[in-house]
Amino acid sequence: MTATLGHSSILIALLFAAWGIISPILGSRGNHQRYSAFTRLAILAQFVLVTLAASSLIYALVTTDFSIRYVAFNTTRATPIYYRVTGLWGALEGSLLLWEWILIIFSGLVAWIYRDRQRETMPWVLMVFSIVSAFFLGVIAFVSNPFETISPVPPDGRGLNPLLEDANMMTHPPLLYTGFVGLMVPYAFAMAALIRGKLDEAWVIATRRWTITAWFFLTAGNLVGAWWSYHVLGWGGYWAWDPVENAAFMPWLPATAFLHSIQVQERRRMLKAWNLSLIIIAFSLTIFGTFLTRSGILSSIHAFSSGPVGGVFLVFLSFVLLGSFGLLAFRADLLKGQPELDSMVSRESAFLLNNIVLVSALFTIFLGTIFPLLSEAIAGTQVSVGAPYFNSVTVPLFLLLVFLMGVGPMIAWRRASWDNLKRNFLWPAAGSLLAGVALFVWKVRDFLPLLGFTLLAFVALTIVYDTALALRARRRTAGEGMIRGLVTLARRNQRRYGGLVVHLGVVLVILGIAGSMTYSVEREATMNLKEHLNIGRYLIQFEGLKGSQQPTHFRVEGLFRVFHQGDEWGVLSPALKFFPAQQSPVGRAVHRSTISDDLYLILSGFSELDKNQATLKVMVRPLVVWIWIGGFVIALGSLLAILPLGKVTPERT
Amino acid sequence: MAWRRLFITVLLIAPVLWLLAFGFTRDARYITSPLLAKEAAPFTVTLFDGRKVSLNDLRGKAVFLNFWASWCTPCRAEAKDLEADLSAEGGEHVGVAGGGGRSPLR
Repeated sequence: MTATLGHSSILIALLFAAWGIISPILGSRGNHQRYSAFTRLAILAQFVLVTLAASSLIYALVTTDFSIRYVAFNTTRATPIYYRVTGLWGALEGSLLLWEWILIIFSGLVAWIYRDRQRETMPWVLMVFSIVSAFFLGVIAFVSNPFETISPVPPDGRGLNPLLEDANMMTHPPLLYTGFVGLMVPYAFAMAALIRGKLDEAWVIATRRWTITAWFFLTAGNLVGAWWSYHVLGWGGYWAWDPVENAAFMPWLPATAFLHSIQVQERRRMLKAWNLSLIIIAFSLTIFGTFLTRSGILSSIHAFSSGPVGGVFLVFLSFVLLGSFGLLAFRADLLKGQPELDSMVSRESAFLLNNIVLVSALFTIFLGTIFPLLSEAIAGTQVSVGAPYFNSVTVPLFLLLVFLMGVGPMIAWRRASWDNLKRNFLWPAAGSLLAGVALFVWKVRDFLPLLGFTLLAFVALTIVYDTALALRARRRTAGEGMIRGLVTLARRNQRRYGGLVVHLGVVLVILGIAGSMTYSVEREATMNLKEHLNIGRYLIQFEGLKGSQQPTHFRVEGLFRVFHQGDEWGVLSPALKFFPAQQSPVGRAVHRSTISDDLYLILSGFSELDKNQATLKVMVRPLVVWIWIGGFVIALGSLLAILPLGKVTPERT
Repeated sequence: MAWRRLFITVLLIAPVLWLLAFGFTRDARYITSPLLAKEAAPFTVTLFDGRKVSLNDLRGKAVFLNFWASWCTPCRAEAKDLEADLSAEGGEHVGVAGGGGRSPLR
């Protein structure tokens, strides 16, 4: 019953999607107004039907309706209710349905928000939504159907992969999908502009907020994924340059580039073709990421079970790439006659350079990700590309990017005068050099980390210094104190200050990454009862093993008493969890964070329970906690940039 | 002019798509070892009872070198089966257990 309801909703939604594609074309030759309404209606109908389908799958999961194959494979009677709900995106079929659901929610929102605006453009925007939606609906309906039934009905289900039974399962996938899908909005507006041949700044301005929103979700999705990896997977890291991690990160790079270069287009009417290309690439990469995760062409820990879905996605990816770039090539004549750069020392050239660096980073990461394929196709040899490649090629690029992050927001448009440079950069540059020297004297002696920390200090100082100057001006003109002044500044220019707060967040994230990349220490030891080991400022003493039967698994904990510079911190107990259906145990690492470093304990093995001997892996990873703090700062900054806090009336003079 | 640009666009994109399609012809999880068809590196291990076994002693026999962990219950069951099967075939099974146990066992 539920299965029939879900599947037929998908089929009917597919019909509406087809209608949503045809209707604008008919409208362009006949009664525009009426067909516009039809196009909107098609989106609305898809929204209702897909919501119905997704709700029926959630209902089936919650009520453990094992007559549906997907439910039987991804939940059990013992599964707690929230993991039954997250089962919606626990495997291939359901994850595509979630994708489609978010996609159509976004489409519905756009259709509703712009119901009275952009009358000429909207039908085409909605058509692009319907095309993407039709593809996903087609896949869900015919290739990877989550509503497929199973007979005989099994008495109990198989359950989620235990690694997915984690609170982050509720955040990471939906955030990331929202980021991916969010990029579809600027993409659709760009396509509509290309279709209509109206390539002015309108599409850029209309989608600015959507782009920032998508960027924020993309950033949050990646950071939460890193956090999940760090605290659950139990290897002490948060990023492994795995193909699927790269797939999630790659759209972020052109999206970030786009976010900056559209400001150049807004201000200076430059870079039109470039911006169109960037958003096409960003959107294509979201499809590429989905393809990579679901096709199994590269080995990865994240891979879904593969099947015919991969081929279908590749066809769609080809359609998106060839169609979008083909259209761009066709319209390229309209993009001529743009203003030139006035000077190399200007904000637009800083942004342009930032774009080049981001796209270079994208290229190197893309190359590294598909290199195993390339090598096998051309040379016939199998290779794997790992973290050393990615770190060595991306670190210099990201350092350059950090430098530009300090320069970009403060340098003048068009042509920076010597005064402008001196005013904005003299003190921050001097301050950061001083910080660099201090760090060197203290103990940072390696070139790259020293350069990195100095540049981070530079960015932070440019922001603080600029804000301080602005605050001083507020105090002089309006007599406002620091807090009042900050509030006024932020509300007067939400986008700028939102952006600066995001930059501060990024500084913190990079600080955490740089610290933990370069100064981590690690020890592994097999310990008998009451034995201890020293690492950094910590002393760890083994207090025994403890086994316990949990509802879904058997758990073996190692108890370790931790002392930090002589203070006792209590007992930490990393564990190994033995699930009946899994061949190898799932580790449960534990860590304690301080603002200067994290202590990270992994139980890597033990002897018989009664012999009380355990092998422990300990890591001390400096500054990791700043990655997560930086994430919160980025979230705050993004909110400040997006939220309509209302205009502040300009000061009367 | 537009057609030429279109042609160049297709020319640039097609190889990438071709490469991705090529991915379907192979199994990403199947990785051949560079050690295949090479002479095995010699090794000597200490058994639980203190005796030593080196690869050279086993020359002429099929040797199955299995790495596993002492806490891995399925591996234990597997070890027994491997032992039985390989003895029947005149081969030798050397299990190296990691994890809690420090000493390798046979």
